[in-house]
Amino acid sequence: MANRTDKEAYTIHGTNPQNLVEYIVRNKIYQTVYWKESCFALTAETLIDKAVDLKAAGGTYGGQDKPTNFMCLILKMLQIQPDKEIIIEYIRNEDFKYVRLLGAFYMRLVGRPLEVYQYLEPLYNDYRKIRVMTKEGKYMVSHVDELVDAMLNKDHLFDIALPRIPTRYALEKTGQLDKRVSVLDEEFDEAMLEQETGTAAERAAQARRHC
Amino acid sequence: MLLLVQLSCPCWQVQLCNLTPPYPTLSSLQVRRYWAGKAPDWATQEQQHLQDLSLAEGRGEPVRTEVAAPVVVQRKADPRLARLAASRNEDVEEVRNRHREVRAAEIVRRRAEEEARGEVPRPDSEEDEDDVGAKQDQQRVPEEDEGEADRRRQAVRERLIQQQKANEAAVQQQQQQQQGEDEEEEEEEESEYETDSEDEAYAGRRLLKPVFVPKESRETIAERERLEREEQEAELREKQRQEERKAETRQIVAEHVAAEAQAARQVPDEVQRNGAELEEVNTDDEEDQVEAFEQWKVRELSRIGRDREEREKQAAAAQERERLKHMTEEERREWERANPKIEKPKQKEKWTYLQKYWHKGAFFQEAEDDPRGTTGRDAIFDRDYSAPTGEDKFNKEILPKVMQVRNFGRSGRTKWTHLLEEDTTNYDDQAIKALSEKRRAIGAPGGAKEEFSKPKKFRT
Repeated sequence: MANRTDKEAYTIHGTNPQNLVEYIVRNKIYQTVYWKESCFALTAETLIDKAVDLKAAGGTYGGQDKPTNFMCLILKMLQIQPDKEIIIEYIRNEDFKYVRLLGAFYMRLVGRPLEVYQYLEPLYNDYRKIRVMTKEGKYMVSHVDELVDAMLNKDHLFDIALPRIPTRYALEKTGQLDKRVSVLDEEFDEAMLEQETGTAAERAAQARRHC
Repeated sequence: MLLLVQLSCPCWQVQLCNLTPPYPTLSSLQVRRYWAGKAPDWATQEQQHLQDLSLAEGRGEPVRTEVAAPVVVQRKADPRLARLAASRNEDVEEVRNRHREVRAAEIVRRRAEEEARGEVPRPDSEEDEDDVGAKQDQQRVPEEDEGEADRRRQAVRERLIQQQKANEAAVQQQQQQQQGEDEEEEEEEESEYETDSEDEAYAGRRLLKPVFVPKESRETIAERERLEREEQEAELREKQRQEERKAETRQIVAEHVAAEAQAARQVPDEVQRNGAELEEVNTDDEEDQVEAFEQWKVRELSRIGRDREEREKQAAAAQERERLKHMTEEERREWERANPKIEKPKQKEKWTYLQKYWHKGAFFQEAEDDPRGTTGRDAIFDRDYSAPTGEDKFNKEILPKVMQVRNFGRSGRTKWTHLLEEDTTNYDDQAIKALSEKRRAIGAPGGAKEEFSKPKKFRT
């Protein structure tokens, strides 16, 4: 009864939004204490309170594949299906990094490819440290931009299969996206120039030596 | 004989099948009703008797059974019985006389005689006056001088030796009569040897006259002083050793602390692989902003580089495709010559005789080239699956012909040998030779070897 998706929710990628989390992992989340205690009757606002208390991101861990609280909240978001504006607010907020990650991950699962690229790429500039739960149940240090990179370039994250989105190049070719502009573009170009000149100078030096 | 048999009739009671005459009649095979407490019709007097017995036992009454003949148990010959039999045959008078005999200990020698000689009685002699004599002796020892006591002891020992000699002499005489000379000699030698050593020991026991030894030449004092000096030296050494150890431990501790500090700075391998506890992972962003920024810069630049490379690669491939699409035939041929499709000649691997073919499995053979793949390719897929394994390693050619088959033992396992052994073709015949050559040229079956060029499609 408590695990049904909201009646007024849209279908995502042609199916019940909760089906984005596959069956076994989903059942494991339903059986966790965190889900039963804290995730009951959450709304978009009360969900923020829970998200603020998050200490780590991660998928399932341990020999029993126990899901993290992060995953429970993601499933809750899929269940209640908050509006796009709320999700954009989650992503835009600067104070809480785990709230940001929740929003970004939800967007990646649910959003259209254009929106995904549009809202996730600004997060490349956020280099704050976060904790990620490893498979063994211990924690590792990671950064927000590393996770966002994984979201955009990999097909599995946090034990959830990410829906397929076209590559950036494909979207650029069709004209829907502009070329990616990064903050460090100029620095990159400078570095490339230096390298090229460096190699050219080396080659010149070698040639002189041989002659 | 009574047997319990469950009849095939649809009744739920067990009937006694009476095999003794009279045999069960038709009427007796009818179904009888059972009443609780009522003896059924088939319960005979014997049964009644047995039942009465069991009831009597339950009530605690003595159960009268038939008296059986006593079983005689043969026991071992009891000495008491033998004695009884012997005593029965004896004379009464003899018995009475025996009773009158005084069974008292024999007096070997009197204590009074020993005291007169000034000797101590032997401890293992059982005399009636033993206890009294012992007490008397204990009272006397402190009164007498030590020298006298020693003398007494010596005299006793000498007497012992003499007695032993006498005994041995007697024994020897007996043995001389019975055995050969070699054994006698050995015994004599042994006895002589023993007595010699004892004599010497007792000779040395003779006391020397006490002579006064001045303090300086006394060994005891010198030894005591030596011991004291050694103790002091040992103490000094101990102190030195302890100090050395302290210094060592201090050094070790310092090294340990330094090593720990270094280890704390570096992230250990285990933590890198598995991660640390929640508290250990520090996610404060205020610390080391500069370092964090630098790290981010590195990451971002690598991402930009990756994106650029991919874009360039894709653009180049697209361009190439465009060019090929619009090439003319001659250009195409030239291009083909320039980039020939190098197909590695598949060298057919040599397998052992009757080697089994194991399929790798159709699933889980992910390509490494998947750019979005999170799971890599397991090293197990790079194994050589054409290598012999298990039963393939045995030489099957030494087996009998019947067993030279895969999965020997399964039904229907005759190996198809293409009837070569039944073939009676005479291969020396010219016509047959020509035919076989032609066949070899074609390649059998036709179409197995690809020797023509297929039209190649260009991928758009």
